[in-house]
Amino acid sequence: MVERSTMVSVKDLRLCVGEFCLESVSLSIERGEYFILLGPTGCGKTLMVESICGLNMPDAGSIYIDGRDVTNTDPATRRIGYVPQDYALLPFKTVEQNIAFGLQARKMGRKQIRESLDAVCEMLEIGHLRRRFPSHLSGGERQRVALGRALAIEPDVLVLDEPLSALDEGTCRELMGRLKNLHDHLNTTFIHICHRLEEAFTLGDTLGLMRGGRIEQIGPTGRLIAEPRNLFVARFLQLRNLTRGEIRETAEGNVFFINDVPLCSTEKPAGAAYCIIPVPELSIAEHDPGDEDGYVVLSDRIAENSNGYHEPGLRFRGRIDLTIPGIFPPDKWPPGKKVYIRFQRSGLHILAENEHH
Amino acid sequence: MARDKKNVLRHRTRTAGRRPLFDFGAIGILILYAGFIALLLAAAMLYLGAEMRETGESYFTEIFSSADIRHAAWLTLWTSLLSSVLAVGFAVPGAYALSRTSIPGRSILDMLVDTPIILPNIVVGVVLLVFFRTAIGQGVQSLGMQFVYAPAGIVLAQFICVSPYAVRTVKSALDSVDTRLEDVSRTLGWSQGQVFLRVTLPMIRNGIVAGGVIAWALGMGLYGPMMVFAGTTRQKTEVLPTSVYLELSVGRIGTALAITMIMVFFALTALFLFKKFAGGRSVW
Repeated sequence: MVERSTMVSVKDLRLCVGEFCLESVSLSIERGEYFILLGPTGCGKTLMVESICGLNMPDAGSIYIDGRDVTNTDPATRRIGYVPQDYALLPFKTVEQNIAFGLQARKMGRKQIRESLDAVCEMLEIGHLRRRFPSHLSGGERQRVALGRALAIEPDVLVLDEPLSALDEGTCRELMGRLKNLHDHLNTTFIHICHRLEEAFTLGDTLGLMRGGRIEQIGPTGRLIAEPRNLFVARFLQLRNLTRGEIRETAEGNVFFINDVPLCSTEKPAGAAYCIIPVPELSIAEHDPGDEDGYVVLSDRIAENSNGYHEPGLRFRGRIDLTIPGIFPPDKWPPGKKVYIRFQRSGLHILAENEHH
Repeated sequence: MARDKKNVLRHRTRTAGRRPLFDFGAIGILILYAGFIALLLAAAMLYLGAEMRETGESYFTEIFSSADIRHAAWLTLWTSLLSSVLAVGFAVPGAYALSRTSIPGRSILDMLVDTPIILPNIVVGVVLLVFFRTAIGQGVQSLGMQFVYAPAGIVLAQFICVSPYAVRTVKSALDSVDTRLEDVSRTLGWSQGQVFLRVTLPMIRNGIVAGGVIAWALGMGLYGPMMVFAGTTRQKTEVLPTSVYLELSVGRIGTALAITMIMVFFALTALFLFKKFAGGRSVW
């Protein structure tokens, strides 16, 4: 039985297209959630959402939407608004005809259609484009029209396949804000495919990370960042607080070391490993802060202090490999200066190098 | 459409490093070929003009006043129109099946559809004649419709010879439609059939018109299968191409050429319509 609060539930989905297969994919998306499906190109994200939309028939497994088993039902009855990557606006219809297209399928009266059109156009600020054909729209405008067409049918779930990938930085940021706003104001569940982390971290309540037709990890954005399941997840999310070390077998069991400094015990097997140091728990000092129970102090020289606009922070590449994000005045924290990094032992998350799950 | 115009413009944009010589070479070959065709038409017209001056006879008046030729022209027109409509009626679902479905043995079906293109037209006539001598063929005729040496046979022969061209043209149009448009329309609430009518058909409209025009033009000029299968009976199964043959066989070159000129006029009209509607996106 699917719980009432679950909007989309996929169970053991298997689907092969040519050589590529989605292997036993399961996920669950809550009502009203902003779900981000992340992953490298060709990992099966689009195939996955197309299956949810009903555009690909799974070989095995089941899909539920709002508690209904829709595995074998027509896409027309699924109440999903779909915005594909290339927007797929009908070139022979004007903007308003495109938006009204889904409403006509619902046999709505002219007055109702006009009211819905007005509402959507106002919401997305596309009123001035109503009589234009898609070929006369910019990328951002097309994206808004496609969004309007999907939202006009008041879907339970809105599926966006890389909606911002073809747009310039400015338009992208503007639309990101718009999407966040829409999600805050509508009671709709969003499924958004992307490969840009900024997009994922800004918008997503929950992230699902895929690789090679499988889901690597699903969870709230914060948890994926703090506790990536494996090195692939940590590297894909470009976590800068990922520090290399090793796990050694000791009399007290396996212990994670950085530069011969024992950090914490772990159940992971001995060998090369990494640890995630939670940045909020981390402090940096010019003088040795001294030992304290439950804390670790590591010393190293600053390799780089990047205080520009792009990813500012202190970079260490010597005894530890770590970036501490934030703005550090370069006169106080120049490269080459020896500093002390202090963090809590208990907050460390250890990842073995050859670990997959 | 605006998008087409945009594409055409992009196509014509001069790019850096273009070799004028290369372009001139290609243009030269094109002019040579088109010039040769024009020369043939001009030669026919000049010959006809000279003949008319020499004999003092107007072949055009003669053929327009001839009941036989008028009948043949009318028969050519309506049979080719009907067969092109039938060909398009078959081409749309046929091309859809070839373009959008994954039936086993599709390549064999595809090949069979194309067979009449490869066969000499006269062989189609022979095969049809043989078929209507078999029990099945005779059974079909006994149902009340006469095909052998009858106008229905003309339509059938034209239909078989021109359908593959219609299928190719419509399929090419279908292949160029982004299936995403159909997918999205289905999520918007339309059934597969409704999507076909409301999205796919408007998208391939030009292809369908182009397929129809090419089928009509080709059907009008068919000669081989008519001689074998439909016969050349005057005022019954004589079509314009067979008229040309019949006139030539009795040495009336002038009349044959005048009929040819009328057919050239029809063909050019068809080609003009075709180019207008195909919008440069078709295979032909």
